[in-house]
Amino acid sequence: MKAVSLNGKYLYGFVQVSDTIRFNIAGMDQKMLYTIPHRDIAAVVSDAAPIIWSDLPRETVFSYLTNHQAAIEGVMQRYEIIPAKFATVLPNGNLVQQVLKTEYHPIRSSLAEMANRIELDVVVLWRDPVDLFKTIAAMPQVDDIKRQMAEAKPAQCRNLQIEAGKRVKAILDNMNTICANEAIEALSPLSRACQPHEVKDDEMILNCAFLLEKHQLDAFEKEIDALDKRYCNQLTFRLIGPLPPYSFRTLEIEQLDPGDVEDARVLFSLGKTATELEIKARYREMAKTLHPDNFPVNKAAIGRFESFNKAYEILKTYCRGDACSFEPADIQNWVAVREMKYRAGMR
Amino acid sequence: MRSLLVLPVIHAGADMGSLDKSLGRQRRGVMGKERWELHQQVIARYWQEVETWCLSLEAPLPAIYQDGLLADGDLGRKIIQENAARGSVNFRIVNRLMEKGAKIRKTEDVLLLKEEYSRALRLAQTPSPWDRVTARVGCQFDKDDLLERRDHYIAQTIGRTLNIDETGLLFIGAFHDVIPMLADDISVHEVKDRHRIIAYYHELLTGQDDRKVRILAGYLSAPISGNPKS
Repeated sequence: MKAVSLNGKYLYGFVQVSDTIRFNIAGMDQKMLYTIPHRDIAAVVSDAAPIIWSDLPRETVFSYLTNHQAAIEGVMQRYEIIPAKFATVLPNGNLVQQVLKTEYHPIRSSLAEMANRIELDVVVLWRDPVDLFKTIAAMPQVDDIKRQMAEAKPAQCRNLQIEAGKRVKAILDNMNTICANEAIEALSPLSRACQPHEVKDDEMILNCAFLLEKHQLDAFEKEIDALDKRYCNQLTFRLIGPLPPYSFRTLEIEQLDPGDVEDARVLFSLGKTATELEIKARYREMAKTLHPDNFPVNKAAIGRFESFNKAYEILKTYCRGDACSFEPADIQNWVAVREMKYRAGMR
Repeated sequence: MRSLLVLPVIHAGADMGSLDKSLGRQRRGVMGKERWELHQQVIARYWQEVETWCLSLEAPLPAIYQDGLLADGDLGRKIIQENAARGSVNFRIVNRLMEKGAKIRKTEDVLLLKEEYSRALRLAQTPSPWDRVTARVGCQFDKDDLLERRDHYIAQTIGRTLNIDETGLLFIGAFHDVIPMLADDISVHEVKDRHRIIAYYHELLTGQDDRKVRILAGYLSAPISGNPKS
């Protein structure tokens, strides 16, 4: 970690307040949280030194993650917060202001959409996996193979074992899918959205985030109790939360490399300002000339065309709205907010 | 004969922030309040016993291999001291062993470790609290190619640098599997059985048998028996 100064701002998320608030909550490196406001929204930050996150050992990363979560959950006790992606550090407070100013509407609408809503994660596990595997092993599809194995020659046994394993896996996957779907069907009417996470363990049936209206929390828990009874205690239900809407609305800050933007501008022969239409027109014009089909024997043409397309993507991202400025200070201060995509389906 | 003492490194891993601590209902949280509290005690006791055992070794260890250590010499010492200052008990113990005369040896490959760091950061950014907890403790319930490549490199490094008649001490994450990859002429002594540690984490996170959790917790918290001379 290279610490230069504490001008950087570690970003925890966004809240709907119009004042500077100093929280009695310690965040990263024990620095206290406060807000940087703009109109009726604010960024929750703490002072931070720039950190090269990709150089940190697992233990350090996860200890910072604990700080990040605890801080957000602390803020959540008093304010609804739209979390920022873990490990977001902006170089200075001006850039935080810039984010709030240029991205006011998407942040404001995220706050409005998530108002009075919480995330609750549900994890469903088999209570007794050993017993479950015994039950599966006694099923006719598997039992049949076992009988064949008893009569088979040693050379055939290996293939039969593989087949038995495949059948056990198929039965288990089917059982898991049925249980998971039943749980989602039962809980979905009580939630605004659900976001299944990847299930990485055979003993796990479901790992899913639900977005609830706050007043639905008790009803949601009662439905979990009902599911528990329906499965005669064969399953274990774990409820994690209430959490801020991590799985449904985590915002990340996008910054572009100023060098890449300037290179793209030069490649497209643009002046110090350009409009979106101008960039598009230049792209079409240049694409005709640079297309690799025009240079069938020149292998470098493919690489050149790829670089050209990459430059176009950078310019498309950079140029929001009608026009954009390529003045160095404007490129340097360019920031955008985007929603992290977790395939969440809102209803 | 070359000898290697192997000490599994375990992480707290269950600290989900303020909410998890305040929840009283058994069903709430990644593991429930009672197990969460037990786990905090187990982690503290485990490292306390490891520290006591390490500091009771009679002679300074000629070689310490530390999970995640990219450098030896002055840089390695600096890394150990920085991490110890940041609160890592594991590195604090290594630091104290160095003060007693032990030498650290570079364990990891830079590129593989960079890959591991990037993966850890990605895992920390996943939205699922469950995935974040299992990632933090380093649970690799499924086969992990990167872990295997790192283990192979670590085993080769130890094979190359541990001298004849030397005893080394390896601090390595419980979910690593270095031992089967070590050279045949290295005699291995597992200070704590990593399989029981893995069973503990498995039962703690996904199991339902509280009695089994307590038995395994008892094993982790127990004083380390035997005191091999280094």
